[in-house]
Amino acid sequence: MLELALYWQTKKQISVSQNNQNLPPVDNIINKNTNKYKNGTFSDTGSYSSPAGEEQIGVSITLNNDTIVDASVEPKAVSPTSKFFQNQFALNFKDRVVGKNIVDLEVSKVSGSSLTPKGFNKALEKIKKQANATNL
Amino acid sequence: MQLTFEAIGTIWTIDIFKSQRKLKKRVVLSKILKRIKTFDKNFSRFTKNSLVSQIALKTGSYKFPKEAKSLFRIYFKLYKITNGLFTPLVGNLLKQLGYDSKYSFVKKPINPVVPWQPAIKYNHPILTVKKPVLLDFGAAGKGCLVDIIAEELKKINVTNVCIDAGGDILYNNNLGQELKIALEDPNDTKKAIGIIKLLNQSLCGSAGNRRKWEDFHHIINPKTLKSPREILATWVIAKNALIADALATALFLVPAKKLIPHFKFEYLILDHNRRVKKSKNFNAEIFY
Repeated sequence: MLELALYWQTKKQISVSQNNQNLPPVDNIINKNTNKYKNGTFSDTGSYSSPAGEEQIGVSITLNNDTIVDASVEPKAVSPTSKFFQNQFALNFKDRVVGKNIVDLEVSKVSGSSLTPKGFNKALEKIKKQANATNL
Repeated sequence: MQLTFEAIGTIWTIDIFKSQRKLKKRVVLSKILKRIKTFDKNFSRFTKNSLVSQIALKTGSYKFPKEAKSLFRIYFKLYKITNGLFTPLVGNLLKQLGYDSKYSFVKKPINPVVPWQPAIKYNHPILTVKKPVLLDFGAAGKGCLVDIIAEELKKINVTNVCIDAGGDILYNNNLGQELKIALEDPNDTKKAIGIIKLLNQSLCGSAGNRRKWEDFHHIINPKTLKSPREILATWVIAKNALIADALATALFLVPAKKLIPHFKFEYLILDHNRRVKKSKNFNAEIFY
């Protein structure tokens, strides 16, 4: 399970940093004919030994051009302790968040830090100008 | 009916759905603004001659209004739970670091934050001030006020309403329609890190991306005298906006496990590595 998390983290890091650098999407770089793995979603169930006995967990991975683009985990544990750990893993194994443009989302509201009114922003602008002036 | 106005340093939008009686927009707005003005006069350190600004100058006994009971109660409860990190006595520090009533953002010499008991004692409705101190209710004041406005609207038979106070949202709808809310990305306000559906609850968010100057943002740890950097943003869902607001700030100062035994809430924390930690029933779709 830890290996899966690390693998997921590494793959996601690569794709996130590519997004940040405005590189062309992976599709344009890699020749599809030389993919090591087929594109698509693949699922299986893994077994492992826990102190509570043999347990199972379902794993599903979506590959596109040899990159994991999505993954999910299906807890199948029987013992209460294993259930707890599998649920914790399922909730937390996906690592770093990315931002999506709000205009593309169908939302009614946005929640975050309090919007600041003009007065506050004007004061901040003045401070920035002063700070820049003294740095000249 | 939609009302939009500026109050307590942020922008409010109130959507009233299907009211029972015919309401006049002007009348409702006037009622709400009047109530907010009363709140400011008591609790705001930005309002001239407010009760809070008087307390900063002189010892004595000060009478507070009805809502102060729950406000002081949650502040005192969190003060004890956080060992003094969550405190209304942080006002002087904020002012000294520059976040004063005139938004001067000029740093002055700093004094340590005064502990609660030597300075103030609250026995509703009287606050006994033994040492003059600048109180700041920024951590929970907005949530308190949102709950108050919801109550005011209830008195005029408005129960289906969305009160959005600068991103802190109370949403009641007896028709069961959920509200889809984007969780704003603190690193890029045009983006969201996820979507949450809200119904008959309050959602409050806190982040350091807007009110910031030099190395600080509006949440200061009174022991380290710095703004917490390991956390980018927090969101809390609770029945009352007062609790959601207070806990959204508290999560910058203490781990969630310190708060869980004492309050009923769900939370999401975005850390500086862009990793999310959330409670089991914080039902948001997060973008990975």
